[in-house]
Amino acid sequence: MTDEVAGGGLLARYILTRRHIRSSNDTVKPEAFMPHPYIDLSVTRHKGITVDQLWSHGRSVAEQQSKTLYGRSDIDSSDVMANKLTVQSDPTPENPNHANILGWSGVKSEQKLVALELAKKASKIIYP
Amino acid sequence: MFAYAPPPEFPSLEYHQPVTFGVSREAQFIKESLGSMFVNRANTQVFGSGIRSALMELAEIQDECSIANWDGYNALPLQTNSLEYAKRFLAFLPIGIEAPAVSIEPDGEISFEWYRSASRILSVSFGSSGEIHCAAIIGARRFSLSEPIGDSLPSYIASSIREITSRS
Repeated sequence: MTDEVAGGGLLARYILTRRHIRSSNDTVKPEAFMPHPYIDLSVTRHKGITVDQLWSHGRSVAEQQSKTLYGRSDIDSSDVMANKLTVQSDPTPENPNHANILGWSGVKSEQKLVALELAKKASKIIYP
Repeated sequence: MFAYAPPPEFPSLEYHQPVTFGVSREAQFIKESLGSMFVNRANTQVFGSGIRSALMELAEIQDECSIANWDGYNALPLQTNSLEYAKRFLAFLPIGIEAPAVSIEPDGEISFEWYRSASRILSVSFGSSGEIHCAAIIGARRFSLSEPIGDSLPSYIASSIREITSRS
């Protein structure tokens, strides 16, 4: 069962490729916040879990995908919603805090601009 | 959506030749001259270093991202046509315009980025069918648009790059 996440709260986007990090200043590139060609962007809510649990979910995602967990970038859900997107909880057996960012434009250039806006508000890379 | 044909077969050049749609002798002469100028420029120490760096990044991305799921979120593999259009676009950049940082998007399209901060950024990506997708934040201004790639650097992109990379 899913429901829309109301109010604020931090969301973590796990970074599983070095291509999404600017090594010059540890910022995260907009590409990390683009769902295209899909319609949802996978994130994990901070709410109700410890930092250790947050990293544990990240390691689990990386392990499932046979990738390296480079870190995470946090963004406040209010910044997501300010861009006319919604955050919908989508718990999985491994990650009860899993959520999706939905409501993306089908026009790629518009999606890119929203990704620029999200990357502007998101935290620098936080290393595990 | 653009009704553009797939790009023609490109020769396997290290540097990409500008493409014109002309078929006359004069058009071929201009094409060859521009291609030669681009190769010569890319080989120079001062004007070519950014271009060489971008070409190296493109080669690295080709190595790393040609298989699906390179980002851990089921990204599509690098789109070969997008890579070719990106190389073509590099040849459009005149002397005095900074070369971009190179990246790849989850749909497998190459993107070029001119970045000074999150408030001074231009991103241009290359669709497989010959379109460019642009988005920029320059101070309080924002824009996004898609259009066919054409055969020269669009003036709004040139002015945006200058605005982003200027020292002021």
